[in-house]
Amino acid sequence: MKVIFKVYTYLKAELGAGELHLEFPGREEVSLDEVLNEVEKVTSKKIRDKVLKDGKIKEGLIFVLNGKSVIPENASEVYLKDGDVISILPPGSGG
Amino acid sequence: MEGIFARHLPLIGEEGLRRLLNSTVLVAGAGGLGTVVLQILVRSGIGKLYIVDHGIVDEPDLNRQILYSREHLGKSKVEVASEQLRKIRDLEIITLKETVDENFKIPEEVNIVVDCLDNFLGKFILNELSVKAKKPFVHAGISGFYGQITTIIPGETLNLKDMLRNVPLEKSRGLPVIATAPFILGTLEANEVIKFLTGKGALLKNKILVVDLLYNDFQTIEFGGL
Repeated sequence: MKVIFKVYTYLKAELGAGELHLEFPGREEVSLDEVLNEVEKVTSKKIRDKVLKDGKIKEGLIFVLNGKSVIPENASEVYLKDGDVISILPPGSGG
Repeated sequence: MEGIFARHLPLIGEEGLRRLLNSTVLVAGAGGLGTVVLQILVRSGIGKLYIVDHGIVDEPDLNRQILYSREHLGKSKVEVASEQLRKIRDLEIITLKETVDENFKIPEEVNIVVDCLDNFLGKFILNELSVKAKKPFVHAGISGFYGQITTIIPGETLNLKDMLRNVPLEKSRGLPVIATAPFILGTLEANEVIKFLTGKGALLKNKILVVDLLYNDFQTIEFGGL
C-alpha cells in the first residue's frame, strides 16, 4: 500500500520536503505512528517530536486525513489505508 | 463614474462596480491584515464599511499596519483607519471600538464578514456569529513568513472550527511576523471579497490555501465539505 504524507510551512522547511510518497509493501493499513517512523527513516530527519507530544498530536497542529480534520487521542489509533493522504498544517493565528 | 475606478472597471464591468458600491463589508481587526483589506476595498469601490477593533496604534504595529504612521501612535486604530481611508475615497464608515465576543452583533446590512483578528478564539466566535447570521466569511491567519486563507459560505462549506481543530484559543502576544505576510494574505482576503461580491472567478470554498513566503509555495489543502 501507498500513502501520501504532506507537511506545510516550517514543518516542510524542517523536513526538507513537502510531500512524501511512502510505500508499505504487503500491508493493508498502517498507523500514523508507523507513517511517522517511515518518514524519519526515509528523510533521516526527526519529525515525531515536532508533531507529537506523549504520542498525541501537539496542540496547534492540524492533521487533515483525506479532507477531514482529525484529533485522535493517540497517533497509534489513527489508521491509513492505500491511497490515503495525510497533511499536517501549523496554522497562523495572527492578524 | 469616479475616475478612481477607471483601471478596474473594464475587469468587473458597470454591473460589478454597482454591486461593490451597493455592498457593506464588516472587517474585524484593523491590524496587519485588516489595514490591507480595508485599503483595497476602499480603492475598489465598496459602498460601506464596518471596522471593528478596540486597540490603539503601537510602535511595533508600524512594520506592517499600512494605514498608520508615527503621528498615530497611541490613537484609536479604527478612528485613524477611518480618517486615512476617507482620504482615499469618500464613503460611509462605521467604527466599532469593540472586542469580538459572543455578544457581538453583526449588522443585518452586512453582505460579507472579513476575519482579520489576531487570535483563534475571536476568529471562531466571529465565524459562528457569521454562520448564524448566514453571512459569508473570509478567514486568514498569519505567523512569521506564513499564512492561510479560506472562504466559508454558511450551509455550503465547513465552518472554521471544523477545519482548524486543535488550535490554542488564547492570543499569542508579540507573535513574530514579517511585513509581507499580512500584505499578501490581506490582499488575498480582499480578492475573495471582490470575487464574491462581483460573482467573478472561484472562491476558496472547502479548501485552505497555505502560503509559504520563505519558499514561494502556494498550496491548497482540500476538505471534504459538509
